[in-house]
Amino acid sequence: MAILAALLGSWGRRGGFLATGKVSVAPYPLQAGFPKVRAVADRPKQGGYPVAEEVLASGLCDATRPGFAAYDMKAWIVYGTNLIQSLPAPQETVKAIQNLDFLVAIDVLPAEICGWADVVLPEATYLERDDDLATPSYKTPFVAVRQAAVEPMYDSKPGWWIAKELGHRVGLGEYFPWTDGREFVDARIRASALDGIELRRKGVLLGKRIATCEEEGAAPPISTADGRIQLHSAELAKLGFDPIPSFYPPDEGPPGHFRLLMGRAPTHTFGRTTNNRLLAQPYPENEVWINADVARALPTPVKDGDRVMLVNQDGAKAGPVRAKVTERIRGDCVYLVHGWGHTAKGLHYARGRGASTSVLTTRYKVDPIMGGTGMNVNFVRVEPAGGAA
Amino acid sequence: MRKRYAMAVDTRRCVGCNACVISCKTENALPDGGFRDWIATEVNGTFPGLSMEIRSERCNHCSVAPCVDACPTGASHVQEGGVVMVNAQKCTGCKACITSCAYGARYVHLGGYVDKCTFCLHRVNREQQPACVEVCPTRTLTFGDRNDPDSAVSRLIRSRKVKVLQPETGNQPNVFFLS
Repeated sequence: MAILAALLGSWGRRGGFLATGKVSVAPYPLQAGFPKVRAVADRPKQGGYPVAEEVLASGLCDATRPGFAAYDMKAWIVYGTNLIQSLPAPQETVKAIQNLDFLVAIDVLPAEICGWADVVLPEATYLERDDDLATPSYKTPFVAVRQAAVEPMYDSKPGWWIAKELGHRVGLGEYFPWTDGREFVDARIRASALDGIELRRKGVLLGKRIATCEEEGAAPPISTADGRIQLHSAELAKLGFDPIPSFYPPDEGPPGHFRLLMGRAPTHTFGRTTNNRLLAQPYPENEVWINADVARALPTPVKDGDRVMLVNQDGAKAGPVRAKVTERIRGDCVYLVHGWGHTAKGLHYARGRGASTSVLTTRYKVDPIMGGTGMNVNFVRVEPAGGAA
Repeated sequence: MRKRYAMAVDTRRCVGCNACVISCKTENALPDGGFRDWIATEVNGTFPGLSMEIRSERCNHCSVAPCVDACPTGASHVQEGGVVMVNAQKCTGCKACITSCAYGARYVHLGGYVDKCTFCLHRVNREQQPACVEVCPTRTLTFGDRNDPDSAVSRLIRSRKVKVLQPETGNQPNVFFLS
């Protein structure tokens, strides 16, 4: 993307990649300094990805294989992510969990991963808890305070409470000297000399608008040694990689199969809101998008709204799921919104609705340079749902 | 001058996130399966030459409202600002209004009466915006008085390319779609 922006001349220009700013906020004034952090645990003993600090997705399961990482991982603390659906190849995730002695899940909205956990720590929702100051990178930088609006319900606790109690129980209490999240945030506000009353009242304080592009007087953000845009990377060449990206045609699927694409819908946040009763009313399930011409030409033609099963190249099945017969997709691909096909019994609304993208993602590809995970490498065929409809 | 409430829906801004639908359901405590507004997606052309329009739709509060004429009990009526309302106490649930509405804007509430968008008149009378307008993250919706030429909604209707749904009905809808 950056190379394209450079070729098109939009790097650092209005409408292109911008230089954004952040409001600088002081850390909590801790008396004792933090102890030295040990090396990253999931870095592999050998190999790995030389320019990646951490490998997401497949990297977690790899690191949990005995003998693979710097030291064997014995426990996961899974914070607010449903790994069973969010990682590719759920069969590998389940295998990795078998290698663990202990699994803790901290979640606002429980999902499949909580069923695999030894301990579940239910966290209060964001309207029920004080969170740390937020200072995202933006054109007009700002500092936002996240304040509890109502008391937490049931046994759920705010994230700060969970962190502080864990700290005390493992003998690190001195690093958590504050009473609660609000006191912690107030100390940071004071240390940063921000107007705390105004911030608490408005929720947001705007910083100074900065020049973000050449048109506004900002120098383009370039960090090369000679200050010029470089498309050819000497660093990658030295590591034995293509110094400029080469095109490698993607694999083709078996005959009668479609490449499975996946994405998001604006109504739901990943898979975690699909059990929300209100959101489920306008958007109760995902649909498999199939090109209109292709749907008509299938051995068993598919009409809009028909229920079908999806079977991937390894025989993994998902569905039944409604077909959305549309012009909005090319003929060699089908598309699913991610986050459906839940299996956890407790998800009364979402369970059994729609098709899971994760189940069909039995294969993935790993970028040899960064270790990034490519998931759109699975192929499915569309079968009539038959009696399952 | 008398008010004439209207809404402008900017189809170039709408992403179909359903926030208008959800906020309406919570603001007006709608029953499961009951909707006063909804998202319509219209696709034209064939792949890859396509155009698409996403619309947040609701009752058009027509100036010539066939639902009001069709109502045998006077439950459907026109209130201040030209807002078409249903008096639940007078409604027998006969559905004549539902048949007469070209837009599918009405449904039968679990309570046995017909329910529909009120432009959140209870909020508007407190100087607040309708719930759907208030929450829209892309500022697709603009509500106001069309009889006031300086209102934001009047200015949008004047300055942008505008259409109403099914103008051939002669209903004179008051929800305007900008493109």
